[in-house]
Amino acid sequence: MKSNEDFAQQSSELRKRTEENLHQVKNLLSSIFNALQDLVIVIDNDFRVMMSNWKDHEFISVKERQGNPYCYAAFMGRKTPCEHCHTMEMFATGEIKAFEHTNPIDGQTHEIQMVPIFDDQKNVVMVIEHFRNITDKKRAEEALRENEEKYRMVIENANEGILVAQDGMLQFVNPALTRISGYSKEELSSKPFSEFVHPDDKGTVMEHHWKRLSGDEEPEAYHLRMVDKGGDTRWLRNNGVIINWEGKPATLNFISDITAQKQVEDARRESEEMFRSLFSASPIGIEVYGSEGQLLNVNRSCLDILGISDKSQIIDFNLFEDPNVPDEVKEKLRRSEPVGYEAPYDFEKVKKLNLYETTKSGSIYLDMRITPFDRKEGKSVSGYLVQIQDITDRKRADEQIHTLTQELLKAQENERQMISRELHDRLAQDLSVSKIELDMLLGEQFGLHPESKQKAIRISNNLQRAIKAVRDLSYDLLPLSLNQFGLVKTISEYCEDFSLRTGLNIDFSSAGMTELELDFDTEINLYRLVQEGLNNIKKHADATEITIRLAAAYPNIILRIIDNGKGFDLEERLKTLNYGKRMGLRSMEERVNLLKGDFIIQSKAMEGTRITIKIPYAEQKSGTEENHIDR
Amino acid sequence: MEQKKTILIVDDHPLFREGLKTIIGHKAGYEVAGEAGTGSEAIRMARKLKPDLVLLDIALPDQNGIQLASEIKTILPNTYIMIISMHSKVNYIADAFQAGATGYVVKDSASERLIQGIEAVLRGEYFLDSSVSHKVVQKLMQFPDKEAKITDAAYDTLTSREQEIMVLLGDGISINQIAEKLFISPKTVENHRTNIMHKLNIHTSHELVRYAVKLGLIDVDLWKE
Repeated sequence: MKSNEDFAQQSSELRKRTEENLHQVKNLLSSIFNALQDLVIVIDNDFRVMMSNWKDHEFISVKERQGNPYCYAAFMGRKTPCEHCHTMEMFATGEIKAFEHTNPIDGQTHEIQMVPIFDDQKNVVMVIEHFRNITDKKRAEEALRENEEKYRMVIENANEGILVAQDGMLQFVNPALTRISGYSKEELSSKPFSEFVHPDDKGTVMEHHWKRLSGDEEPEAYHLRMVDKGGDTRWLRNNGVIINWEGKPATLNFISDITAQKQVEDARRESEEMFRSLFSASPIGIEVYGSEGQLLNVNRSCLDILGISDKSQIIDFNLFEDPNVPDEVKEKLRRSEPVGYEAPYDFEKVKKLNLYETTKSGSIYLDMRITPFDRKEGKSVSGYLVQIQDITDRKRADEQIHTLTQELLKAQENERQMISRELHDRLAQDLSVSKIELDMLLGEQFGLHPESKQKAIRISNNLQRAIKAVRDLSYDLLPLSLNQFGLVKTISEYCEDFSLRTGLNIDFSSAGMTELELDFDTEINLYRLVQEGLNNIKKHADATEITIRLAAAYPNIILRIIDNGKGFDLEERLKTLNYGKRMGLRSMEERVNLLKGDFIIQSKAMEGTRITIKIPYAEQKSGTEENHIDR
Repeated sequence: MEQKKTILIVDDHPLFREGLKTIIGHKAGYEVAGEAGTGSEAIRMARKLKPDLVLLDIALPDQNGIQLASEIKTILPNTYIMIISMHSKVNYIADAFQAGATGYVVKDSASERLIQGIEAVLRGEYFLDSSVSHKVVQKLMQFPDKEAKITDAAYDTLTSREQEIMVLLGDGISINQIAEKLFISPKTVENHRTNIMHKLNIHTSHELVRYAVKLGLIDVDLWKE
C-alpha cells in the first residue's frame, strides 16, 4: 500500500506545488493588475465591484472602497444605480463599448472601455471596465484648439494680406488679401498666383519665390505690382519666409498694399525732381545759406549773374559778410524778417575784398529777396533762401522811360509856357488892337451905313469874346501870376476858379509856405499837381468835397488832395492803367518823381481818394533861420 | 486955354501903343507926351517928362508893371498911374492898387471906357474897369478871413527844425527816437517841443496831433477800422 501512500503523497505534493504555482501566478497577475497605469474594474450583474486596482490609483476619486461596493456608490456616491448606466446597457447587449466621460464632480475626463464576460450560455455575467484618464491630453488639445483659433483670428483680421504659396498656387489666403486684390478666396486659389502679378514683375516674383523655396538667401522684403480685379495696378510689399505646409515646403508671405504710399513717394520724388530742376534751370539766381549765413548751395543762374565759373569758388561764402548787402537788411535778417529790395551790386567791392573770382566788373542792379526759413514762433532760423534777379537792363530801361517821361513833362511845360506867353502877349494884344481900332472906327460919326455899323458892333463883340477866350486859355496853360503872387495865392485862385466852374467845394489851406523860396520848377509842378489832381477828381471821382493841404514841414513839402468821391480799387486801377485809363494819376506820379518826391494813393470804394505827395526841398527858410546850435 | 494933360504910354506892344495914341488923340485936352516899350525906358521918360498920367502895361519884357508903378510913384508922387493889362485876375488888381495905381482897365474893354478911366483918374478918383469890378467886390467880401484861412500865421513862425520835429511828434515818435534820428539830445528835442507848443499856443500832445492833422502835416487814415 505504500504505492498508494506514495501516490497520495506524490499527488499531495503535486497539488501543493500546483497550488504554489497557481498562487505565484495569481500573485503575479495581481501585481500586474495592480501595477496597471489605467484603472480597471470588474463589475458583476448586481453592479458590485468584484475586482479593481483602484487602491493604487489616485486619478479617480473613489467614495467607497470597502468590500465589494456597488459601482454607483463607489464612484458616484449614490445609493441607487445611475439613470443612464452604460454597465446596465452592457449586460443587456453584450457589445463592447468605448466612450469618453467627464466626471462632473472632479472635472476629470476618462476614456472608458467596457468589455463583457460571458458564461456558457452567452449571458453577460461580468463587465470589465477600463478607465484611462485623458484629462491632460484633453486640456492640451483644447489649448491647441484655442491657440489655433487665436492665430486664425489674427490672420483673418490682419490688415496685411497673408498667403501660403506652394507648387505655384496659393494654398491659403486671408481676407485682407481678398480685400487688397478684389478677388475672392476661390478666385485667388483657382489659378497660378503668377497670373495675378503685373506682367512686368512676373519674372522677378517667380525668381524670388523659387529662391526662397530652395532656401537661398533672399531679401526679406521686396516690392511688386499686381493687377487687381478692377484692372488697376497696385503696389505691394512682400515679406516671405519658407515654411512647411502639409509636409511640403511652401512660402508664407505677408503682403502690404503700399499703393498710396508709393503714390505719395512718387509724387514726392517727382516734386523733388521738379524742385531740383527748377532750382538748376531757374532763370532766377538762387542761393541757400545755413543758419550762420554760410552758403550751402547755389544754382547756375546765380553763378552766371555773379560771373563765377564754378560753385566751389563761392561755397562757404558768408551772407553776413557780403559787402553788397546793406546793413539794415542784415539787421532785419538777424531779426528773422524776410527782406525784398532792389540795390546795386558792386563787383569792385568783391574784388577789393577778394571774395571770389568773377568775370564781371563794375556794378549791376539786383532784385534781392531773402527769406529766412523755419521762422516759427520761438524757433531760430535754420537758414536763408536768397533769390536774385539781374534787373540792370530793366532798371536802365526804367531810368530811360523815367528820363523820357520827365523830359516830356519838361518839354510840355516849356511848350505850354511858350504858347501861353505867345497867346497872351501877342495874339490877345493883336486882337485888342483890332478891337480898339474897330471901336474907334465906330466912334467916327461919318460914313458908315447903319447896317454896316451893326455889323461892326457884332464884330467888336466877337473880338471881345475871342480876347477873353484867348486870355483864359493862356491862363490855363500857365498861371502867369505865379511869379507875381507866389504859389499859395495862385493855387488858391485856381481852386476858386475851379470851384466856380465845376460847383465842387474846395477847402484849400496852406502852412509854412509863405517864407519859402522855391525854384520855379518846383512851384509850377506843385501847381500842376493840384491842377491835375482836381481835373482827375472832376473827371472820375463823382465827388462833392475836396480838401487840399499844402504844408512845408522841413525837409519836405507835403501836398494832400482828398476827395469824398466814389474811390476805386487800387488793384483795379493798376489793371486799367494798362489800358491807358487814369493816365492822370500816372502823370501826377511821374511829376512827383521829377521832383524826387513820394506819391501815395489811398482809396476806398464809396469813401473817396487820398493823394499824399511829399517833395523834399533843400532850402532853408530865409527869414527865420535857426539862431541857436543844437546840442 | 487949359493946359493939356500929359500922358506917358508904357507898353511893349507897338501896335497897341498906336491904338492908345489914336484913342487919346481923338479926345481934346489930352496929349500923349511919350511912349516906352520897357521898364527902364519908362523910368527914364517919366523922369524927363513928369507926365500927369502913366498908362502902364503889366507884362513888360524887363520888368513887372506893378513894380514899375510903385517905382514911378516914388519918383513922381503926384503922377497918376493907370494899369492897362490883359490880366483880369483880382490878385493883379489888388496888387496894382497897392503899388499906387489908381486905375485899372482890361485891354479888351471898349475904348470909351478907357477914356472914362483916364478922365476919372486924372480927377483924382479911383477907376476900376466895370468888366472886372464885380470880381473885385466878390473877392473883397471874403478877403479878410480868406487870407487867414489859406495860410497859417502861427505855423509860419516855426523854424525848419521845429517843423521837422512837429511832424515826427505828430507821427507819434518818442522824444528819444527823434533825438536819435536827428542826432541831437533828447533835452534839445524837449526844448523844441516846448517852443512849438508855445508858438502854436497849444498845451497837450493831443492838441499837437490835431493841429498837425488840420494842416495836413501827418496822415490820419480815416478808413482804418
